[in-house]
Amino acid sequence: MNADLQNALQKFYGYDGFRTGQEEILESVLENHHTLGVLPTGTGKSICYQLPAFMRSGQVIVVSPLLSLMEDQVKQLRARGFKRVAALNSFLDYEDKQQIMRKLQNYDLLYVSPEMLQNDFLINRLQSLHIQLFVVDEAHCISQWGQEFRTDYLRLAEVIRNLGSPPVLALTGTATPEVQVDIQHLLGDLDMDKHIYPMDRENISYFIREVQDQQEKNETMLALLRKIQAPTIIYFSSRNMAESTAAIIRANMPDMPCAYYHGGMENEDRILIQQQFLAGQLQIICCTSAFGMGVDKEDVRLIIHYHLPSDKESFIQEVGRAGRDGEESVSVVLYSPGDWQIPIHLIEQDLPEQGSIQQMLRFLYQRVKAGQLELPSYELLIQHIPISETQWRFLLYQMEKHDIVKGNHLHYKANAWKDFLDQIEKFVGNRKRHKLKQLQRMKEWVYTDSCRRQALFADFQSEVRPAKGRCCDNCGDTLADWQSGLTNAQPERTGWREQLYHLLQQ
Amino acid sequence: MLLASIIIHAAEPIRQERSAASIYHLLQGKRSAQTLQDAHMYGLTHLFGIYPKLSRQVFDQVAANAMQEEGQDIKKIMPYFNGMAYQSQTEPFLYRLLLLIQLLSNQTKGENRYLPVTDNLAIQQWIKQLYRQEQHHLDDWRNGVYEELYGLLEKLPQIQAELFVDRLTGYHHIGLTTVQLAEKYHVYDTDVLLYQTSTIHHLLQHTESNTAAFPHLAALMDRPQHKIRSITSTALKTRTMLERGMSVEQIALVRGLTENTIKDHIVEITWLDGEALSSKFISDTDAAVILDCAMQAGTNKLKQIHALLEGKYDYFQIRLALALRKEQEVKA
Repeated sequence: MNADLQNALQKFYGYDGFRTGQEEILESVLENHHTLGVLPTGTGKSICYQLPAFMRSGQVIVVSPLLSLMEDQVKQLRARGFKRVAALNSFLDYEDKQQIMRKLQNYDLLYVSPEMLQNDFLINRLQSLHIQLFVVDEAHCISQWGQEFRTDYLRLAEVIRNLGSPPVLALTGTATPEVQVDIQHLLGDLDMDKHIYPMDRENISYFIREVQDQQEKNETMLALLRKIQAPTIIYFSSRNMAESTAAIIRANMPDMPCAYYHGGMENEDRILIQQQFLAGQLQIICCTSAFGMGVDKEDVRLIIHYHLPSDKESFIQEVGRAGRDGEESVSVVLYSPGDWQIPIHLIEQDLPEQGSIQQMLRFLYQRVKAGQLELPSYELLIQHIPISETQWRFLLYQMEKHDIVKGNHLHYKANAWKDFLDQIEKFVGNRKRHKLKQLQRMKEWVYTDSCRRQALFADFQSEVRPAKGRCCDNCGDTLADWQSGLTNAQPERTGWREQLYHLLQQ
Repeated sequence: MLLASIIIHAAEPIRQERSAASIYHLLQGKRSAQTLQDAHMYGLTHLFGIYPKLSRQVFDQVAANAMQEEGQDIKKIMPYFNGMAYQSQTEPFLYRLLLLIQLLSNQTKGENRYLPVTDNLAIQQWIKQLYRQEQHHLDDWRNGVYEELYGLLEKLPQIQAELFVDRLTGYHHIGLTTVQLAEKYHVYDTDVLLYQTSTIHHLLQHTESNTAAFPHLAALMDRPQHKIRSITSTALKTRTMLERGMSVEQIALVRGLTENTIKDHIVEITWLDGEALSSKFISDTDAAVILDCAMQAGTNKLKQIHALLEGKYDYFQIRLALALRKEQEVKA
């Protein structure tokens, strides 16, 4: 056991011991090895790079795709008294960004969104620092979704080289062996120390309830909530459904404080809801996948999936938010046969269709012929071509890769454009097939007759541990006698006078 | 619905002469010469900028409905607003107060790890500064803020007091969001924000008029010299140049603006400062003639006045005269 690390942990966090894997990863990092850490959700990945930032001189740069998580972590660190930390992302206005960039040396820990790393000025400023560690958080983004949503992640290898190849720490909660290889390769074939920890959780049990329609789904959900009166997260694939279902729950169970949460809300409101849940003022959160990252609530007992995500990785991450205190917790999937339409639709939406790509190229070609070499804005493009912003960003990246776009300008070469069209068609086809395969695996898991625990984790680890308590419906377990053992004892105050007195005079 | 009542209230004097958009700009607090003029001309200064976050879409929808069922809602008592006076300091005051209460409530329990209720760095710095100065008197502050707030909230309709206090965050207690408040008190989201603003204007008004009685709340207000005047900064620049003796043409040239823009500035300043500046451009007698015509015809429409006076005065002079009206009425 490393005494320095132990002391630092005690000093900066007030914890007595490390959780699984943290110490091993830290040791590797402190010896300046490139490191890949796969740690299950809820084991505190952030300690693996925060502690080096506190302990050693030099900057730690953390690339994270999750803007709200970044903001949360900065706030939490500041609340703990660690002020030499900042986040650079598109939330900031121009002035604040400039101010942080001008004073980079004042921060020991700097969170950056991947698109910020396209900024030459920032790279320039970073080059003047002594970077002790370059962290790629949620490293699976480079493989799993990277080619579409986080195209910027694919450029990280180049960024790392431009920064003089500092030690790299890639962290993720979920990665199949195939994805692990991908991460290593796409970060520039680094020679990495691998620390892979099992993702299965012994205290979570898995249940699926098949229903015929939405009404039955709601009834089943309400019955479950009435029975298991404990902190609960319910996942939806749409913001509207999260909102409307929260209203249904409130109407049916006025005593169970319930709210919704999604990425379309204002930052201030999101933080309030999150904090209310942590403080126990809210019992149930109806949310999209935007909720959960960085929410360290120990006693979540029930995760309901009103809709399933389109891959097992996401499902495992979401379910992993239950039972962090080690107590028995439950995952329930409410499933109706029509549900598969939603993820299929989402996959279609993310990737551009061949017709739109051709249309776009024709549009760009007209502009080139008219002497307008400047890249059109998305706002302009959308008036002519029906593509989403996600699709446009994806295409933009691909065009840059094929030298059709350089800087902010179009370059026309007949052959290059034709090649591009062929390759992009193949590429999009592959991505779609891959995503549908992922969805298929999720689907197979729903329909399986064998142990759900085995079936869920078999892709990710060679051995799956047995459950501590209940295992799953297929193993014959039921929720009939399940008790959360928690009571929600929030004193109900009435009237503003009492409330104000409580806040300031008690 | 409060927003609807306010729109009808504003539409009453404005409607014949200005578009619905002008009401939107008024509520939203657009800092343009035109909007400031409208506020003054139609006696709606109290509603200026009371809803900065109002979206055009919501406004259009509510306005369309409100105009249809006019007459029913308008009798409702209007909450207190004084937008022209407090619009620029409503938000800083509110967030300083929210953060201060969070600090006092946590501090007294010995808790110093919590997420601040606002991300605004300027507000955080401001409270930090206050904390540094006053850290040995925090109990006084806690009691003082409590007493002062209690007294002032008592004077408000209960709904406003409830909406305000339920929003506060303190030790192990997190305030409610706008949507949650709307749900709990059965009001519209838009109205939660309007009541909130009214409450802050109420606090500011009482505090400002009697700082001795409310020393703690008064400390959260901006000092007078820091108060942002409601004149746009570009108009202020024009005024400075005029005072240095430059002509409209010269200013337009130097600043690269059109002469009409410079004239807009002069009209804007005249609304707020009276004849100090306008006397260079229009005499008292000429102004009286124009005003007389406007009064007799019962209109503020420039085109109409211009025609009635047979083109004797240009539009700029007519606008100046109208801007001077208040001044004239006070004198009379």
